[in-house]
Amino acid sequence: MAPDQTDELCLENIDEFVHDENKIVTCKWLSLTLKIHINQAKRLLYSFLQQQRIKKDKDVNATYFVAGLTKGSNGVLEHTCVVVPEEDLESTRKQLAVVTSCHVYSVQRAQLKDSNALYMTDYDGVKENLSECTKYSSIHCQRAAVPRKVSRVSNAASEKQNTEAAVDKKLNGSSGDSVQNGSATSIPKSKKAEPKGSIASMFAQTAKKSDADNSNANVDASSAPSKKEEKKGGKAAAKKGGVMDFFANAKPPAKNMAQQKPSEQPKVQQKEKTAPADSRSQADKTKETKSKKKGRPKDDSDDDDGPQKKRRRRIKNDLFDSSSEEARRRKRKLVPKTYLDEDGFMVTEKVWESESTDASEVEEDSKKKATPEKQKATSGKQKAPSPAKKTSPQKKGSPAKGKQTSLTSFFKKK
Amino acid sequence: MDAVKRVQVAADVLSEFLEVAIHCILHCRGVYPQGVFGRRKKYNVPVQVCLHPDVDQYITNVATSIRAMLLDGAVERVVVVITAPDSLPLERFVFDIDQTNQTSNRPGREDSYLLHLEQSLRALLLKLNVSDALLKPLPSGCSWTVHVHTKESAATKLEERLADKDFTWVEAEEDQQHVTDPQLIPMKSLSSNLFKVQLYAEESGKKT
Repeated sequence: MAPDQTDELCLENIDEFVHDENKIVTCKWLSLTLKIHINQAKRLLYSFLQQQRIKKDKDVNATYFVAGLTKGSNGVLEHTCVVVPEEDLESTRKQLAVVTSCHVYSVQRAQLKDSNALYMTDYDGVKENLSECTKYSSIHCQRAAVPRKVSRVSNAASEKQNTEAAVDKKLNGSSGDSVQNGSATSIPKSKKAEPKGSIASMFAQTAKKSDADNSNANVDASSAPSKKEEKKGGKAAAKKGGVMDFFANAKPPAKNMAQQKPSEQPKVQQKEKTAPADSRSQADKTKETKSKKKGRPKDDSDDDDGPQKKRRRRIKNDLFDSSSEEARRRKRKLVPKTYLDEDGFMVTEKVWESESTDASEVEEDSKKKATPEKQKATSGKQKAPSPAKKTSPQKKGSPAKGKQTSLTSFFKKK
Repeated sequence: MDAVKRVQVAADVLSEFLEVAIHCILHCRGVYPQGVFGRRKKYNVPVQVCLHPDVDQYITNVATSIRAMLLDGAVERVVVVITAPDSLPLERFVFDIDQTNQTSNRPGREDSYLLHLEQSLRALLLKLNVSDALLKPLPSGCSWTVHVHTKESAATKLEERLADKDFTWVEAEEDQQHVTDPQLIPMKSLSSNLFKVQLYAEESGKKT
């Protein structure tokens, strides 16, 4: 039977780990290594132990995990969990009034003096799998916040740093757009004031509902014809109106932030539903996070302020814009260019030239290539691979005029 | 400048590690009773450290001297010898150190935060902890010492440096360097950009 066969293989693996590699095999470590459910790992360890007992192998010893209820010193019933070596198993079980759980915790050849080695065994595995710690476990909690993945955190942090300048720029830019799009009933001046007002209300810790509603109403009117309204499907709570314009204009993402973005967009809408504009006010914050978490169990533990999250999202959406432009721009041609070198050598190079607008970029590329060429002073060599290599870092390095080529261009701008 | 920094970092990391490893060996082999050890944290995992002040001071001095020699790159190996009451060596834990080929960071194998190195050192400590499965038990009343295999020039330099600190190193006796009826037990090897360490144990077949 298939399950038996897999069990057999696993038992052989455990045998190898314990005897040949002299490892400490804890149930957690086994589950992560063999990618099996933790309960299966416990069963396997138990059957392995039985086998060893039958073979009268005194080399192998085990530790057990015992949990149960016991009467504490103050008379209150406490739930305790202990990991004990095999010798102390019976005595520990007797001490507990009710034994709720007892299973093999680890199997090893070494005589363990204390729990240090057990902790060390699991340490690396646990750290690597922090975001999926419940993958092989049967303990689930809908409301539990899953720790963020490290890459997302660092991205978010770096994005936060660059938000302020970009935010204001984008604000003005998009408010201008909304004026053009909308059947402008309101004056451009007030237009600019409103998105700023809504953003300001976001950043303020205690935002007043009235202000937000005013700004929302006005922005609503202006952005009626914009795509956003269609997307939101008439959800009246277009409250962070000025900000939401950005989300509406975001095109489908082309980068790997795609995973976060689609999840974020519906969540943003959900958030609007649940969160009034004064979500940043301290009083409502706790309620917010709970309702948010209910609806979005997988989202990162956003105890941060709403505005900061908005900023992050805005930046990501900007990047989506640029990435789609990049896709267009990626149609480049390898064009051989010949020119006279400083020393009078004819140098022929293959240069990536884009088909679309960025003529400036092409110039930059060839300029930068010219200088190293002079230094090397090789004549007539076609350095096909090196221009290709140089273009990629340079593409990121060239300050795209008014357009963002990639995340790193953010930093280069300054 | 980069190379000098790397040597310093390597010396620091290695001497710290050796200090913890010596404590670990003393704890695992039961050279001192369990009571004198306390739990401390190193590389984010708990380790047992001997709390007796004289022992602690002695090990710290050993580590400082090793660090000084490592800065010159003169250490070939560090050996922790456990001797029987009659001062015959019973076990030797050998840390083979290779500081040549300190490669600059290759793009694929960068470890600028030394996270991989920390992981490897943790694995080495773990291996030491389970080493007693591979070795026969020691009799009671054992003593221990540390040998460092190095160059003559480094040895004299060290004597000058430490002359005022009242901590001298003497040349090891011949009979303490070799185990009778030895059995070699390889344990773990570690390689990183900064240094390479190999850990193995020699055990005497004639433990009482």
